[in-house]
Amino acid sequence: MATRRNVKSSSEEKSDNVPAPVLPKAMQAERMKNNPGPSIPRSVLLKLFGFTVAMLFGPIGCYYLATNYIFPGSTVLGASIAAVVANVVLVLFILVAMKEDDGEETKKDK
Amino acid sequence: MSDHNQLTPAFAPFFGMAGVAFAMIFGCAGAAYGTAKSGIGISGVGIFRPELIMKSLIPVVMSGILGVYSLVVSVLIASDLDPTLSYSLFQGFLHLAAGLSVGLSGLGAGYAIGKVGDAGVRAYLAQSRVYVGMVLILIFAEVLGLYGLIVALILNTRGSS
Repeated sequence: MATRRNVKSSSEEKSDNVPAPVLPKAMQAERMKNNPGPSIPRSVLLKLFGFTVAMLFGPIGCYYLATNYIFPGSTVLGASIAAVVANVVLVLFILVAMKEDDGEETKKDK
Repeated sequence: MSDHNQLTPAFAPFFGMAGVAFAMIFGCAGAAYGTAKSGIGISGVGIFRPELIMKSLIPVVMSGILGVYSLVVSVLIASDLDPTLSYSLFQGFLHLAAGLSVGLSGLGAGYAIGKVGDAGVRAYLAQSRVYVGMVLILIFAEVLGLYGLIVALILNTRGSS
């Protein structure tokens, strides 16, 4: 039963997904010719880059900072600090994402 | 070089290193599934409403956090492995348990995040009020991985004393 259901759902997803990108391909190519520049705003790219860097180096950097300089000898404290930093990055991301989308929605309303 | 006896056999580090490997392998398998599955959903949503992409990236970030948990525990266990010190079988089993707990709970949490992220993001396309519920469900799924991390940290303190 479970496998049958999985197969069915995946086929449904395919039927949902595949036609959508295939159909407007020619239109997309034309659109790209008309508007070759990147339409992504610089602020969004900066935000994504900032969060990527924070996620890559924040927790593990804090771990090494804590175990080597702040609390030498206590690795568990450093590990918990790393976990907390990772969650702080997540909460910041959620806040930034909600704020940005609200702004865009209000722009659309105007 | 340490001398081996019944409590510190030569094969004891095998279990500690297995713990390091299991933490990383299973945790990253879960994080990869969560990222891939929710990424499929996000690219489906982005075709129709690109302005929702930023909000829909939350499951991907949460999967990344699961990877960080496994990484932290792996680094923590690896810092206790030292070939010049004696390493007891008890420590080996502790490190194996720590690695398995964070790895397998990360696998489960990543699976949940992937499924919920995919379905939730697609539902958000049609109904914007799904969002708060989706974020809450994702947080509860991600907390499962955090429990594994906590247990691994507690286990690790038992071995070093």
